[in-house]
Amino acid sequence: MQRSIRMSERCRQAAIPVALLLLAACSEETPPPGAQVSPPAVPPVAASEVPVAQLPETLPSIDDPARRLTALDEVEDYSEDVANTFVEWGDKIRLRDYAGAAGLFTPDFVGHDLSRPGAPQKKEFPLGITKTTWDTKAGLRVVNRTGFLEGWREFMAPLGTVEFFFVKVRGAEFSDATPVEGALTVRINAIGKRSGGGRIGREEFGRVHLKKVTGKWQVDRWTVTSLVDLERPGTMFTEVARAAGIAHRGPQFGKDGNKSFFWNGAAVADFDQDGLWDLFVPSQNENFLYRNKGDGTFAEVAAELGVAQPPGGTGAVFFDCDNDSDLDLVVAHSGWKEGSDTIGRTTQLYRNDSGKFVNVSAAAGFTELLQGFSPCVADADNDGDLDLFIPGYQKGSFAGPNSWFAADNGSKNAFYVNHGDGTFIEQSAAVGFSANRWTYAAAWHDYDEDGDQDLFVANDYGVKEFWRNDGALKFTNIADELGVVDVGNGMGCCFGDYDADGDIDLYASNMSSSAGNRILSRLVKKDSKDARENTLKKLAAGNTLFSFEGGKFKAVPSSFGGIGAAWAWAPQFLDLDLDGDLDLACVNGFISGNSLKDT
Amino acid sequence: MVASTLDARDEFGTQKVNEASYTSKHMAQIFGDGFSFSGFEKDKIWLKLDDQYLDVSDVSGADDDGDGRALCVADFDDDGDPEFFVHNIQRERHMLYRNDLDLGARGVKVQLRATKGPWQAPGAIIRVSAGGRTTAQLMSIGTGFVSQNAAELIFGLGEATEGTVTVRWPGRGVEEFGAVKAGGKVLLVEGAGKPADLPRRTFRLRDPGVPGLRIAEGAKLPQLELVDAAGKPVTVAVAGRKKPLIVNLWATYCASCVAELGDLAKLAAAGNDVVLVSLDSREDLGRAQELLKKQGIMLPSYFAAETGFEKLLDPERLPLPTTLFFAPDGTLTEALQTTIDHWSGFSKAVGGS
Repeated sequence: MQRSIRMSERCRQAAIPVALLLLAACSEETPPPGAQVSPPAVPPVAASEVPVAQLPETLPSIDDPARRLTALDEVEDYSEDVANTFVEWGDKIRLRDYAGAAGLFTPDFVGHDLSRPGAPQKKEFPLGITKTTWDTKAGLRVVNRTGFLEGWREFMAPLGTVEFFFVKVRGAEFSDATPVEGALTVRINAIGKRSGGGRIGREEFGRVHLKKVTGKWQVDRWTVTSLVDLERPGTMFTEVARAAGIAHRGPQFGKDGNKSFFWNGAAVADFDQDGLWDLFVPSQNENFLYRNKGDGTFAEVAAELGVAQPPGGTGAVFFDCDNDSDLDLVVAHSGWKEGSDTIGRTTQLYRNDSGKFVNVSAAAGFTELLQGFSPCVADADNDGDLDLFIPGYQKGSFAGPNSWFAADNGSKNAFYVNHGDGTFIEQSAAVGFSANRWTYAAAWHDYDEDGDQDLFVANDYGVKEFWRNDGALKFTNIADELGVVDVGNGMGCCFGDYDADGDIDLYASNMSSSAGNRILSRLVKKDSKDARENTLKKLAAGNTLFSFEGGKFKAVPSSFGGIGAAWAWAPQFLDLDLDGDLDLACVNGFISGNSLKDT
Repeated sequence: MVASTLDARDEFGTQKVNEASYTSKHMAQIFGDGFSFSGFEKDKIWLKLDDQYLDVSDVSGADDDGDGRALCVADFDDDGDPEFFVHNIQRERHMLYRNDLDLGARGVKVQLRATKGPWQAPGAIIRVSAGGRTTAQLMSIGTGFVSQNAAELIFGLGEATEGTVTVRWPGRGVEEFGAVKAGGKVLLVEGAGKPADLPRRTFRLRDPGVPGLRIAEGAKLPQLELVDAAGKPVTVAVAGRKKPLIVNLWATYCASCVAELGDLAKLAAAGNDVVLVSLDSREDLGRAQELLKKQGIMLPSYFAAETGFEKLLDPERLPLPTTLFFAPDGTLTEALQTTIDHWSGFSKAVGGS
């Protein structure tokens, strides 16, 4: 399925600064233990077993600074090269092609036997979930290449169907010699349906030593440093879009018909007020409006009801803009001028007229081109009608940020104040909202419960804002005072009571990339005191969960969990098991190409 | 994250490293050429426990590795528990995750209607107390990233049989609504002081079809349009046979497919009608035939590439091996998406009965 593609030199040149500066996170897992592994002496039981002494307690690593390759671009080239080698290898394991997988290893390879890990420690969680942590400090056997691949066969055996198998190179160092040697930390994740029903996810961390011989990486040592299984009988969620009649396949991103980062929003509302939740989804050629039929399927009625065109919207919200008790629809769009050409379009307002939607955008006051993303609605001036905030992102099509953590060359955040009749006036400058941040998302919440709606704003390449509503359409940014500056690549945000203490907490999703983090780890020392370096580290930390305490927001330590989501977008709180605690969901991933190989 | 449209990629070569637009244009080329950038990252689900958010993505069934952007929560089937919708940037774009935990009776669903301000009441804070603690949720219009959730908040009560509800109306005060029983679906009208029951319209969101197949179980196929090893069109009758037909979909690059060829031969030797359909590309027809010959597999063997049959499949989503079972009248009775030895009828069929 995956075509292998070698990245061109110039693409790589582009990817490195991007990965570096978009930064990075890998708060996703606990850092793997080091390479210190002491396999105990165990009597041989298999022909493939080899004396423990052949696997050194510490894998050859590139500790000696005189031997270590330090040129960042060369190290990153090698890192990418080995990462892609493991992608190809992982594809063989996914297909259970163990003979094919043998090609990665030297004839004198020795490594830990995955089929007989150390003692398991089982922990039971709600919903019948079991987490098994295997003791990798003791009890692991050492085997030769044949035994190692047999171990992989056993490792994969609990997965009746393999749905996902991925090897990520989490850290890498290389020697400055020929042939080049590498010492890696790898994370392996195998997910699928269990042979006996239910699901299983297996996660292994390992330390791997390898050499590049005649243009090919060859692994000669592999120690297992961590092995954890998560299992659950039965299903939690089933994906039913196709059966429900709302599936839609789009072209691959970057190809004709799908070259835009926009049109990926969705809005749920009972637009026909029949007691069932319907769904509006903007798209590239036409929008979709799925009316819930109440029989397990949806009917697509966008054209019939007048919201199929124009296409290309970003975020959308249903709300009653003209106080006539039905739900109107606002769709944010991206638009800008290039010379005398207009690219994209203005915000669209579809007024609900007895069940059909009529596009009244211009008459309602939506005449300005914005780089609009996630609209959010509240009665900001407490005058009895609903006002609209539309975050604005970059300027034009190809403008880049002028800073990676305090960019102020983004586009305007628009604030539409409702006249009460469904016509609006844009007032962001008058109320003092930022005109130059790279804003993707925002959310209204009266955090101090003083009776007016305050506004949290998540900015990419920068600091976040919290606008206290001072009444009379005056707002003051008190993010610093409230503790929510949260420098990072803000992508989304949601409010909810994560600790069930009766007040509303905050969750902010921040983009991060593993490639960027890998590079960052070589640039910034863990215990750095340098303020700039620590800003870089914060950029790499990923999402932030804030607890509302004593009138302010306090970041919950990442060890609490719920943080590591990699390149995160929309987060939402939801109580999926109805136990009274709000669970969390967050969608992830930037662009998946037609190769698993990543930048 | 970065640029908007990618149409200016032709100007790529003229950019200098220090130009602000350099990165975006390079990325445009990267994606146009099909590279990944933080791709195949799985969506995350964390279960809230007393002392942590436990990452349960791997066992959730909702950990798609598509590039998700929007995420909207709603009880689409009105059974009391939350579903969610995800909008991906490409390929399989609309994902609807049905909640199969069936714990809806443990919660209460709350909708609002304000009377002294906008009736949708965005910004209202709803608090439900049950089992000695109080959980708050916010009514919002637009939250997350380019997403709007349903205007119905779902509160879990755990083992409690009822919850006490209050609403802080935006710009106004707190109103107490009293108790709502577990499993309740209520409308809280400002000033009413007590909840009003809302009618239920519970139904079941349909089960998914077989991944990668564009025909559903129960559908009838008269025949399969295929090609033989020479690329010549062949029609294999499905309906009007004397016996059921077993159609095994395989490929040379699928190790478990190759490994199960012997089992399929055993099935045929026991008197079952077995046909192999390879999903290898046209260029690999010879390779597939060679492999079968080497293994001594004498089953009827055809190819789906560039045929009418291929239109019934979605090769990107179809797991291999998949084996289709057709009744003598052409009805697709079962689609097995694992090796044939997992088929419930395998031992019996190999036994020749």
